[in-house]
Amino acid sequence: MSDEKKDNLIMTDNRTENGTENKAENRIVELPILPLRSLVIFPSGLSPLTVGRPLSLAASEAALATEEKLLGVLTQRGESDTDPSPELLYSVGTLVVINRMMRAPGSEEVLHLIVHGQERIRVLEFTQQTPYLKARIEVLPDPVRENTPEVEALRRNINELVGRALNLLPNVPPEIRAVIGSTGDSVRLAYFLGSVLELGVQQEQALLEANTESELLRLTHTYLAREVEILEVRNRIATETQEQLGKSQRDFILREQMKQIQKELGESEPEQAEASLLRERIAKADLPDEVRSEAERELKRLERLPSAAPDYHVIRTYLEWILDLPWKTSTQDILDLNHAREVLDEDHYDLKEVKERILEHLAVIKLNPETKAPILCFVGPPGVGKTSLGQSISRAMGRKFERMSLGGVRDEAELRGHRRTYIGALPGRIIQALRRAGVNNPVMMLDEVDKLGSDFRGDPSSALLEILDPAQNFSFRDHYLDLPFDLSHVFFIATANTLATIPPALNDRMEIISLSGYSEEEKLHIARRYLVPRQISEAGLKDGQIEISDSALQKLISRYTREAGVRQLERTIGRLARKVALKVAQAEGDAFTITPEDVEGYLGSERFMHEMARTELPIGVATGLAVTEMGGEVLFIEATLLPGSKGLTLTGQLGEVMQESARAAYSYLWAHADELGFICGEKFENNGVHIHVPAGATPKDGPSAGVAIVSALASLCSGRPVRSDTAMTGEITLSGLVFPIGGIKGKILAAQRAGIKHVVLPKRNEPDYNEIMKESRDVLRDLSVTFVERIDQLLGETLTPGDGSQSRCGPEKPERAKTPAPEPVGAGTEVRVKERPRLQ
Amino acid sequence: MIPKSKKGFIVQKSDTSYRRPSGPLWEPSADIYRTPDGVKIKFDLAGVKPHDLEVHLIENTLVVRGVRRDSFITNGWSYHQLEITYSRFERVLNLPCEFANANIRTECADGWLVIHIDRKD
Repeated sequence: MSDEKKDNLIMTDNRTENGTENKAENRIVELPILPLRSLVIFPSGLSPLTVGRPLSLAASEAALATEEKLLGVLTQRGESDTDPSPELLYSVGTLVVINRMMRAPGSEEVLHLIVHGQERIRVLEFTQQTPYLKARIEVLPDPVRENTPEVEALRRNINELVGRALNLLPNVPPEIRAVIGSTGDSVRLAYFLGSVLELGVQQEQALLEANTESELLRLTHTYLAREVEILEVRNRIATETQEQLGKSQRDFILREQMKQIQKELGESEPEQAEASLLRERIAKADLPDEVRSEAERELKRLERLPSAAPDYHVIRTYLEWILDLPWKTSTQDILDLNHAREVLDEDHYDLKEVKERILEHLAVIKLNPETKAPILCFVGPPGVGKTSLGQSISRAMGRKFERMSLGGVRDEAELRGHRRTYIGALPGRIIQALRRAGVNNPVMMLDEVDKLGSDFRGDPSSALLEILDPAQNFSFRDHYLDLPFDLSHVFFIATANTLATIPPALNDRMEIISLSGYSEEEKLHIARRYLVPRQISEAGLKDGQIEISDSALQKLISRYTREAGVRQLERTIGRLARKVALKVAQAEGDAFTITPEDVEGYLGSERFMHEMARTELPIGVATGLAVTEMGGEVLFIEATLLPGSKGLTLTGQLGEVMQESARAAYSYLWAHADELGFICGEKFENNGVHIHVPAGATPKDGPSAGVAIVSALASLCSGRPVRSDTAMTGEITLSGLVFPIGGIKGKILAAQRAGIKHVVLPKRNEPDYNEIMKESRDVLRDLSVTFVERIDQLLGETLTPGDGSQSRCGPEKPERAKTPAPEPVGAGTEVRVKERPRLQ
Repeated sequence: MIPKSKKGFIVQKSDTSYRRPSGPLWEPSADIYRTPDGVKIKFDLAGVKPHDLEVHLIENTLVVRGVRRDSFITNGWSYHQLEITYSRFERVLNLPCEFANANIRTECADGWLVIHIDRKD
């Protein structure tokens, strides 16, 4: 054996001694043979083997017992488990060295071998079959190396295919790449590929048996190409399957990725963005707790809704409303009283009562910042500056100003909003105004509160009751918001032209401040100070181009306008200014001074005449005083006896109260004729009495004409004319008392304007008069006033002294011969008392 | 041509394109010492008999090849575990410099194979 082995060494190394040549001689040895199942071992690299079949075990043991541990391995055809007969074995195999051997733990019958392939061998003959196969083999030389272009082409192709295969295979360990890359020898590479690729026994055996490099490479190329193709197809199938399976999943993943990308870019989904924006705003907004929790609840609902849902926009709008409202924002009041006074005086002449009230309030706020804002109601005729006074108040206090006109509002929902269930629902005007203001303490002007409509659809004034009650409005609930809003810091100012149409409950909640009409004197001041400069600059005139004298303004006030306020006056001044502007533009001059004489030239003839005191009154006519919204007015009460008629006839659009007061006067005189020394009973028995109050087209009402009616009737009875320079006002009672009335200032001013020298007033109006005297002493210095408490006192003042002809009575015409009754100054002129004289 | 040493044979070849046999062999590990005289190469080659050893020095390439035989095993014994590699081995080393006409000497001691390459001066 040992000799053989020595030979073996020398023979296997075919380059000993003289290694320059490969000797083609075949070396022949006898070796134990290990049959292999479904495995071909190539003469390259290490292969693990597990040996279990008795024949193989015996062959392994025999090989291990040799000095060199050499073993021949032959692959068997087929897969039979039992020990194969030599006929089943391929005749070409491999000579291997057993490198490592260990017994399987716990089993003698299984060996683990690691064998190192060395040479190709061919079996010449089997020399032994038991206990193990033994054969004489010849060592085959390496496949003949060739350097033909074909071989080179095959090499390159194989290299390329290997590269492709490596790319197709998943998880190729880097060592494999390294091994393949480092193999410069194409034969070794072919053997390596043969052992790595799962080609199947036949193909592997064919590779092993190849005797030339070209044959070996051609086979390798074929197998490898096929293998690569299979790999490609497999990959393609796998990819396609995956593609089909993953189509929907892919969409999902892409969508998720898009979301992620958008998130990265900071563009979230529109709804999400909206919701998160709202959330941010809610977090930042300064909201009361109740509002915040409500807002957050709504936001949660919003986030769950798709943007297409109809509710989505409802909730969004709602949230935006909540966020836009000034729940806690407020402006700081300017509490500088001097500043406030300056501002108020700057904007408005006079109006002392209002200004005082504002200053009082500021003073209170200064002392007690927690105080509730007052709720004022300015009542006065149009054009006296109620609205602009509101603006001026807001300016004086440094508050925002919001104005809403309630004229014609007839639906409660306008004020309090619609419930959110309605499509397009919005909060009411109060909340809207607060949003516009942006603060919760604006001056809020409720204009024309007397013109609120009210019908079967609802009564908005009732909604105002809540809004204007300081005890309730700290938690005003708008239907839309359905959250309490604190209105108690809002400075409400209502305006009205008359209190008559304001419901008493509402009237009761407000502090009424009357703005009576301006006197001519005041109008003159206002015109000088505000209207003239404004209209001059509106007309584009410069200082000095127009000069309006005071007397001209006076004329404008009294002859061209008839109003309580100053709007008409302003328009008239504007007209005048424009006429002048026209002249300036036509280069007819550069400086115009307007005198009363010029006015007619510019504006046409005088348009209004006041009733003027008549120089003499016929019997049965008395001068009364009325007050309208345009100020006081002088009016004449005419009474006459109608022989043959009966009873009392009243004409001149007299209201109920006035008619009653006429009846009272009639009855009083009739009843007290004797006391008074009149012969009324007889006259009234035999004659009817007609009382008429011009102008007949103007409705009049109120009790204040009582004294004038009684004077007129007394004149009729007594035949003594009423003093023509005396005007009177006051309510009478059947028992002969004179009751106080209102509107004293307007009436006195009207009397003064009409040229009356003497006014008779109820005694109890004396304080009012004193008040007026404080303000307008200059104006009224020519006017004397008498206060009376009873009708008999009154008649003493108003009737001209008796001339003894008291007995003259009956339907005879009163004596008029001395001085023919003067034509009434106002005859033919427009005397309009637009509204009923006030009931006071 | 270097004459064979007593123990083993040493062949110096001029042919540089030395070609390895088809089957890769196992490679013994080696240390190379630089000495004042030249180099000494120590191989981990226990159990190799000198006559089974072949040393070639071709220019600066040293080739050591041979075969390790298991002469320990006797009839009736069997392996329980095999970890030492037997059979043919080959080691090709590039020496740091060329040793033309150097004295080459091999020595086996304590399981080492030491090759002395000394400059001739």
